Amino acid sequence: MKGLINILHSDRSLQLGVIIISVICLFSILGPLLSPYHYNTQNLSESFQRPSWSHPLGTDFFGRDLLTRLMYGGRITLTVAFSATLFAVIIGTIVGLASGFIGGWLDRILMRLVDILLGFPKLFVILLLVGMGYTSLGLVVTFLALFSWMEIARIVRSDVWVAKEQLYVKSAEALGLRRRRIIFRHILPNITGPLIVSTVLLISSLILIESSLSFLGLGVQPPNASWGTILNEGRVDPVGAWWISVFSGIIIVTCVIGFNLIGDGLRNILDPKTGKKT
Amino acid sequence: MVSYVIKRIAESIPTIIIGITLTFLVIHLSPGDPGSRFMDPSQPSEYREILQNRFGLNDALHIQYIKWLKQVLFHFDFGNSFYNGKPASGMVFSALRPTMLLAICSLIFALIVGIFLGIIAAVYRDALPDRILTAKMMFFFSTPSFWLGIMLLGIFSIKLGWFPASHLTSLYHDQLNWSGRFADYVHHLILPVITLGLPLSATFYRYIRTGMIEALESEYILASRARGLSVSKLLFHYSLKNSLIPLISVLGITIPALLSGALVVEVIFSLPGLGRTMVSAVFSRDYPIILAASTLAFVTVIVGNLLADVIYSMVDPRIRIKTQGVL
Amino acid sequence: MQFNSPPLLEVKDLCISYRKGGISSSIKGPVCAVKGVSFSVKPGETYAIVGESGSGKTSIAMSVIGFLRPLTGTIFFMNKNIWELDRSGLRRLRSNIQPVFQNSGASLNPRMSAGKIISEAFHAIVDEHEKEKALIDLLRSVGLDREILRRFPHELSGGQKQRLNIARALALKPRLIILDEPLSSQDLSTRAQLIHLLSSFKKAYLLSYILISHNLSLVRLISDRIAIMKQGVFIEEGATEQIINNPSNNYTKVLIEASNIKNVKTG
Repeated sequence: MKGLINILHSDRSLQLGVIIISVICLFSILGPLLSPYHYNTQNLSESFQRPSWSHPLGTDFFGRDLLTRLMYGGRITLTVAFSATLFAVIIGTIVGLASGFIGGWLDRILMRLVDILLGFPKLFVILLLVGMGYTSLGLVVTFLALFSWMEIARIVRSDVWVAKEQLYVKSAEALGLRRRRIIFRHILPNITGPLIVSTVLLISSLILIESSLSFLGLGVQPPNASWGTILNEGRVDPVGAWWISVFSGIIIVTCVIGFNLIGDGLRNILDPKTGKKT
Repeated sequence: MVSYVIKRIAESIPTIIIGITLTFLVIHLSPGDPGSRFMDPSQPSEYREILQNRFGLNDALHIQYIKWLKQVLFHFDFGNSFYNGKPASGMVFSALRPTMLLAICSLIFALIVGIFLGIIAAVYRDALPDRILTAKMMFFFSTPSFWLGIMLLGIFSIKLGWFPASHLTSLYHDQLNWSGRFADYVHHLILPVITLGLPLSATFYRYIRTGMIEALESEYILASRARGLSVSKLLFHYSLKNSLIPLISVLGITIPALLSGALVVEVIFSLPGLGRTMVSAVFSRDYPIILAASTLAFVTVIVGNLLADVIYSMVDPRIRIKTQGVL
Repeated sequence: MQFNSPPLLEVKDLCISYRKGGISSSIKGPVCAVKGVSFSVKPGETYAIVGESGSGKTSIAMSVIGFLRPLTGTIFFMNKNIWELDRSGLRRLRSNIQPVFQNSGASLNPRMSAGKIISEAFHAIVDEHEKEKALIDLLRSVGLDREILRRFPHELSGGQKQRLNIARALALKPRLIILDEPLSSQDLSTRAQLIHLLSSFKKAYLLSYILISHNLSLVRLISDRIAIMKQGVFIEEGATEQIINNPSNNYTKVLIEASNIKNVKTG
């Protein structure tokens, strides 16, 4: 715990990022409990109201309180992004470890697969899948994960490649330890740094992809709403009801900036060479 | 070099085949069929049969697939649109032009902005210009293009009315002389290009900044500075050249992202491009169009990647060996 | 030393090449690091391979431990051709050959405590009590305090790290230890202590060593036979005293002069 606080203090962007993300998480988790409104109760008499004391961020076409909707949207957006990231990291780590440690033909096949998948324009493919009727939240998460693990796999593979040649791994091999033990006790713990950085950056890029999908009307479907869905609702009248697109956009940008700051901060700590001077 | 290009082309063929096969399967195995979408529910079900037959959707899946693949490979025929009956390949090809225009202009815009600001930030490292730029670029790096697009659209097109809110050309475009046409294009493209290019320039900015800082601190630069070479020569001739190399390697990864980004931008600004065609085809289940559009998207990405790799290996011959080893 | 016993390790016509850069390497042809080297090591013998860096001595070591597949040639250890064993066979055999590398820090997993590192070496012992006892004995024999078990590698001194490496290598009671420049990154007093330690183990466990070094003055103190290596081949091989006092090759003479042995009185 003390070590954690020390790490937090060592980098400004990390600090800022952690604060932003904590606030957004609290906002999304606790916010709806405190709000007097329900995110999906329509009240057409209050349609398209400007920000006011009773509706700090205004209301949408159906008279729903925007602040409450953004809080709920945060739950969906973050859940989708976190769970897709988790899947992607698991797949990517397994593929990267197998590819890097076992090598040979397995490595060639897996890396060819990675090349092929990286060549697909992500949004086209996911759009196609979701657009063809596979719209449930679980499937959206799965599709996002299936097309995002490749970068992780590449990073893990190249790190394993380096770690494998380290003398401590050679020593462990010489001891006659089993492969599984060498991978999980000697290699994996020593490549977690870059893995964590790319995981954090993946979260932010998945928030963007999910938002784009929902923005196109193909991601999270009503009555559920992610930030992207809400932004899409604001597209109807970006000038007359400016508050919808402005505020939903601001929260997406802030959240993505938060994760990027954390990622950058962690990278600076792990590899001070590429980042800013501290 | 020629054999390298041929090898790369040969390698990309399975990618395309796998891609379009998967697309085909996804489309044809998905729930719901286009027949029922085009049909008035009160009509007798024979109509549905007729429609399905006309679209060739009643054959077994593998027969449909083989028929389709044959047509595609030997006649470059993706079938006709379910909606207007025009050949899908033609529709998609004419949609490719606006997309390419948008993507290339945005790429150039992003490169110019990213490189220029990256140099400034590296030269004034940790001073005020660097800090302001880095913070700004962090913002653009994190800004989804769809939001940027809506904001620009709302402010500059709808509110201020400075730029058109949709389409690539004006209605009277054909009556203009060539300079008028050019101006018309620019007028229509400025907002979309900024929307797509600005977040991308943030990526380039980061690479250039890091690369320049590393290059400026490297021993040979310090040595040449000690020998009294002029700063501007150092900056452009030595440092920039070295920091451009990693940038070219990102270009390959950027191309799929660029195409995905173009899709969103085309929807926002109603540009008649590949992405918008794809989105509306997905919504209306126009199978031939979906297949043609995604095939074209795959091919575009692969050709783009190939170009990036060729440029890369021309700039830095060491890499050619390395990439060959990896593949 | 048992000069009449059959050799523990027998290396014949060993050729090792590095393939660089995958497919494209075929154009340039392989880079040969070791070209036709033969030698044998008897039980209880210390065999030194001396040469400048890049002469191929580490490649031989890596091949003998089973990390680097030779291009041609055979390596027989305890009468088994190690490059013809399957993976589990090689793993079983490995407990009998242990390496100690030059870079004592890099050979220790930075994320494991000294205690974890060393107890991992006792993976064959299941019983916890027995393991504990063996561990304490081992630590005492390499002259390490129990207290260091809690520490992580970066909290240890260079000498302590190398003792830990030696302890780990000894844990499996191997027949052969390959010492790849084990002392060259240590300071002088640590060197003396470690040399003493290594020679005491040799007697106690009837260990064989392959000692790889560029430093003749160090090597002569503990080795029985010496091979001089240059550009991938053995240019001279013989008993230590013979090599030192009566070198036949000019390169050997240069090495001897460079290491100032003539000025040091033999003890």
